[in-house]
Amino acid sequence: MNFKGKSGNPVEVDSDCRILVDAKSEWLLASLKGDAYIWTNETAALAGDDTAMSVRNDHSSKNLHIWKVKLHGIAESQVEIYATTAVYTPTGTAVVGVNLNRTTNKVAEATAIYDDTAVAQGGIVERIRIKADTDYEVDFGGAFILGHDQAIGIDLETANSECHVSVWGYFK
Amino acid sequence: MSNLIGKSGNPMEVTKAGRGLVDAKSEFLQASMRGDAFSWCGETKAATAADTVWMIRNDHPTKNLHFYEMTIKQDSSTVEAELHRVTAAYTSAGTAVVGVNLNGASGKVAQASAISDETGNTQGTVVRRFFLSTSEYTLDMESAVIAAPGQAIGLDLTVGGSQCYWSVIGYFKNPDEL
Repeated sequence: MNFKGKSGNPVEVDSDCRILVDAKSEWLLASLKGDAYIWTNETAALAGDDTAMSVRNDHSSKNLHIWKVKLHGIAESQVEIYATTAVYTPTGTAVVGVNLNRTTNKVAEATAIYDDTAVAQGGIVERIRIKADTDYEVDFGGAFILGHDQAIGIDLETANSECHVSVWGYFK
Repeated sequence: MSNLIGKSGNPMEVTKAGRGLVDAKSEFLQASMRGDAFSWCGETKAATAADTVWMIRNDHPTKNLHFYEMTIKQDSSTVEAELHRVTAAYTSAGTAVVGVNLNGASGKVAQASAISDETGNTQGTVVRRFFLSTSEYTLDMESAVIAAPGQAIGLDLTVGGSQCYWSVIGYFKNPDEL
């Protein structure tokens, strides 16, 4: 029996008897729908124990899946990545989310802040150490999930005269 | 020729090249979407030689606990580390660590006993032996290190240090769901 798809196209099977599939990751599917974003700050200084970046999910019905976090500091530092659950008023330098799909004009329903002074640290999901002047990546694979009004926060223990943080995430 | 129809009645789509569209979710992501993925983080503290710096026991009555990834930072220059599985019953002793659900939209709580500086266990079967320097170390277990109900996974260090902290990520899954 042959199988066909919704559009009537037949499924192909190769000479090793393996069905051919078009396997797209959640991340790519989200980007194709215009729902994937990166929030990244300008190079800036941070005091010790500051929240380098917070990103709050403001979408009323979709979850915000964190795909990965990229970090860089001019000084070595312990870093704590956590989820907040208490409602707070973001305070600091706003960071605009950039849609990774340049063919869509969707805007991120999120509030991202660099050097956020209002966010309270919640349950820590990663405690890591970045080396001086070295990029570090924390890969969550979309499994770090934020519901409505919940936020990811990233705190650096050591003062840093230069710091970059990028948060990659998608709505679903 | 028949359409491939899913459980909900939705037909599968196929490209002109004959490729069926699939939504490829990792086990880890699926577990988190169910609210079954957790992170345990140990606060900075001193580690004595031969200490079990962390041990996490699966207290779920039926589900396996899959260990996805571990990161550790300690300040001794050369340390042998032993990741081991304990199958014998033991009474947990040390500093309790609360698991954080990676899915903020879930209220599920980890059915596990996670302990920092665990002193109640006897070392079990060593799964992996490796060396640490003062740099942070990430061990990608790719979900293949599995603790059955009642079993625990822990990490012993042969040399102590003044500072040590760690993070472990894992998820629960029913063993009969392939």
